[in-house]
Amino acid sequence: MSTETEDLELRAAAAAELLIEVMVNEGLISPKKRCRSTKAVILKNSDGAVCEVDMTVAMESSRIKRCLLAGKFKNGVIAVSGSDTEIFDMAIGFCKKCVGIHPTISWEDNVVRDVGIYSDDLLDLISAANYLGMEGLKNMTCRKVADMIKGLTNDDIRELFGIKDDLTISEKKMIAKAKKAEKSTTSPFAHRDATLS
Amino acid sequence: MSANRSTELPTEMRTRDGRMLPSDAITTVLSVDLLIQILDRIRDPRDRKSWRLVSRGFLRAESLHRRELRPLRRETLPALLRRYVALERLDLSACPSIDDACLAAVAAAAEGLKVVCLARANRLGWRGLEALVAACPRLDTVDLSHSVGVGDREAAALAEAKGLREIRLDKCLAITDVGLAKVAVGCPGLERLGIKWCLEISDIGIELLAKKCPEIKFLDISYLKVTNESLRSISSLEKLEDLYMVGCSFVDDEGLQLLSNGSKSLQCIDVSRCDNVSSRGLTSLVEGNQCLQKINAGDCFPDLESSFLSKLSCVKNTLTVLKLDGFQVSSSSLRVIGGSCKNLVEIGLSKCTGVTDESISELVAICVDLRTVDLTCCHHLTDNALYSIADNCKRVESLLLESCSLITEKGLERIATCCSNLKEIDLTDCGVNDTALKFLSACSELTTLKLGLCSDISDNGLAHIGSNCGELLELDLYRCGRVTDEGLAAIASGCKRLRRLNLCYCTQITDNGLNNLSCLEELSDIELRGLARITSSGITAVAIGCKSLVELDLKRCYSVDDAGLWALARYALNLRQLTISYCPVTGLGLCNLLGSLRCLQDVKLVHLSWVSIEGFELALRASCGKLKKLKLLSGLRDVLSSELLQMLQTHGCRIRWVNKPLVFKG
Repeated sequence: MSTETEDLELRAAAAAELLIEVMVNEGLISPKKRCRSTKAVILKNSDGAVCEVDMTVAMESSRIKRCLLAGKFKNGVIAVSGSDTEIFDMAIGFCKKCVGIHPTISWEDNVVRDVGIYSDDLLDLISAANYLGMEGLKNMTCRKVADMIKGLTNDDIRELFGIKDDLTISEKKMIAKAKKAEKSTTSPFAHRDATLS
Repeated sequence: MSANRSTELPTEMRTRDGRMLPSDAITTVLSVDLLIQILDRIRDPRDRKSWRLVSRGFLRAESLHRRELRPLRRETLPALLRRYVALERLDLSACPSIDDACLAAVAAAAEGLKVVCLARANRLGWRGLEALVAACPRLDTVDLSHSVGVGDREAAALAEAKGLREIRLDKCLAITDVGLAKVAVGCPGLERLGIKWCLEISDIGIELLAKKCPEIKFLDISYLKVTNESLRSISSLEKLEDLYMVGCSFVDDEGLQLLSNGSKSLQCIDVSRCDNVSSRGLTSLVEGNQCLQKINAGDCFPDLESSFLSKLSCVKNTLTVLKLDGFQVSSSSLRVIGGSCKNLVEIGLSKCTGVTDESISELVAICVDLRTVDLTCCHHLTDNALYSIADNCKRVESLLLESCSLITEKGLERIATCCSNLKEIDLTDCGVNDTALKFLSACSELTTLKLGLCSDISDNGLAHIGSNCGELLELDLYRCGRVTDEGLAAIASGCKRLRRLNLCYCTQITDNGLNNLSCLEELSDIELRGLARITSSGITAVAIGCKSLVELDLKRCYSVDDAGLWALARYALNLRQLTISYCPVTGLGLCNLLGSLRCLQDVKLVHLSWVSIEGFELALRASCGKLKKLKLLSGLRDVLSSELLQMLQTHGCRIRWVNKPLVFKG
């Protein structure tokens, strides 16, 4: 069990990590030369499960980062609520993989295999990523769901996610009529964007 | 519903222990924000349409997400604006006959608008603009280019919007210094202004603009009759980054000298077609603005003196784009350019005389980062130039070689092997053959391929292109007489994303070829001039299949008759521009066409010998309020009723009267 001084040390180490991150982004330190902090943080789930991770891994989550910097923890344990254990493990696993790397799509696919993210957990994972503030994980999971939706008709999408069809027939007619009147949104202003601010 | 979709349905979402997810799990687990994040990654408009029809929650997410809109028809505007409450950008340039009342209604419905495009809104006046400005406090960009009715009163109405940062008034011929002054005084935060072709504007207006709007970063004063005094005023703009002064004939070297005051902000300057500018002016410009990134000095004066070229070294760190079209280039010029500017990314030597293989080699040996190389009409270039480019500039993406008739397939083979990023290549009038196309097909990123006047191209070459260039967006086969329906089949099967196709005077094309084209759903611009063998059944196939058809040119298609027009009226609902000059159509077909198509804005109806006067009268009346541009034989001006012509004019339609002969071209 850590004491108060150790908590303060943890907080200071978090601040140092943040500073190093900023310096790396500004190009003052080469990312390769950066050595990872060996301080560990304990994350406690709403189920009661605990998980010990390196500080750099934990800092990938912006919510945990804020907690660390603000000192909102006791005895080195940060309480993280909002998701059950498996989802949480997956999220942490993703963080461990993506420390210091710029994710590309093929890299993300590899991670999905390694960490074991399957489609049935995607929705919960998006929610967890949003709560924990993990941009990389949120981007990846949203992209995965978007890829699943691409190319499907509205009936297929409803079947896939088990959504109830609550639009009335007249509403659908109105939407269908209106959709003929619009051009695609992909690039209505593209030819202007070169000069428009 | 979606017969063309080949994707399989992914396995259903189940929980880890195999149960079905409770219905609506997605909308309960994910908030609207997260739904919007997923929607953000779905770009294809067809997928978006599917999304909208899923459920109320999804529809709502989409309504909140939609920030920009480009409606094609005026009638549906109210419903669209009610649905999309978060609109910020609205492009009304495609909507026919936007007038004051319409704009006022739009503004009242969409108060969060930031960007509004009203280009070519010929019927718009100050009342509409006043309403827009009053209702949308966040307005920061307005584009009124080419709107005939916009003059000083409208500019005054616009000037009430204090927060405006970008205004485009290109070709608003009625704007004078008074209007410009109102805008300058009313919008002190103005950053970008385009007043191209507003010929009434003089030095006085520019002087006031420069005094009142110090934040200006982008200014386009092309073709204005301004003198050096304007440049004196402009030189006081400390944040100016882009200055376009194409065709300003009253500006000379003294003026350019006034612009050269050691500014660190000027990045892009375009002085093309300024007849009175010479090397001296350009030299002082480069010396005085050492952060220039883009210089366009095309067609100013014939002789490129090496004193100017060596001065380019003042901007060697920043210069990336250099366009020197129309110059007389000496053997050492390109070497000096290369030596002065190593970082060039784009070089334009279109219509330059004296460009040789050796000089190109010297240039590309140094400028290895070149991505766009424009060598249009550099007639003396041979394959050696292509070898040098291929060996040195691996990142070349755009290569314009129109009229370089000495190049052969060997040079193109080297280019295709070494430059895998090649996206655009213009080989018009180069005499390339099928072997060249075989080599070029290795460039799988190719998006634009222009082969106009290459009469040696046949279906074999097109088969190669179709087999590998799946990203092709534009294909130009103007006067490639040996292309037949088989070639079109190959293209249609391989290049599914094709958007623009030019088959003018490829006389062997028949209806079968057009049937093949009908599977290209993104094809929006087709030119089929002079194809005597295509009939209405081919046009029908295209109208049904090419759902994105926007522009169609059927001039001199002597076998297309009313049946073709019926098909277009029924199926080509997005058609905006149509040319049916010289086609054997009658008044009946024309009337139906102009009455039905609600997006049609630009029609060319020259020499429709089978259409009677009554036919024209009826048809043009049916189209009133929609057409913006019309081209007719000048003989009709005396015959059509003045009432009709008046009505067309009041509805904002511009008529071009032409005198074309009825000769049968080969």
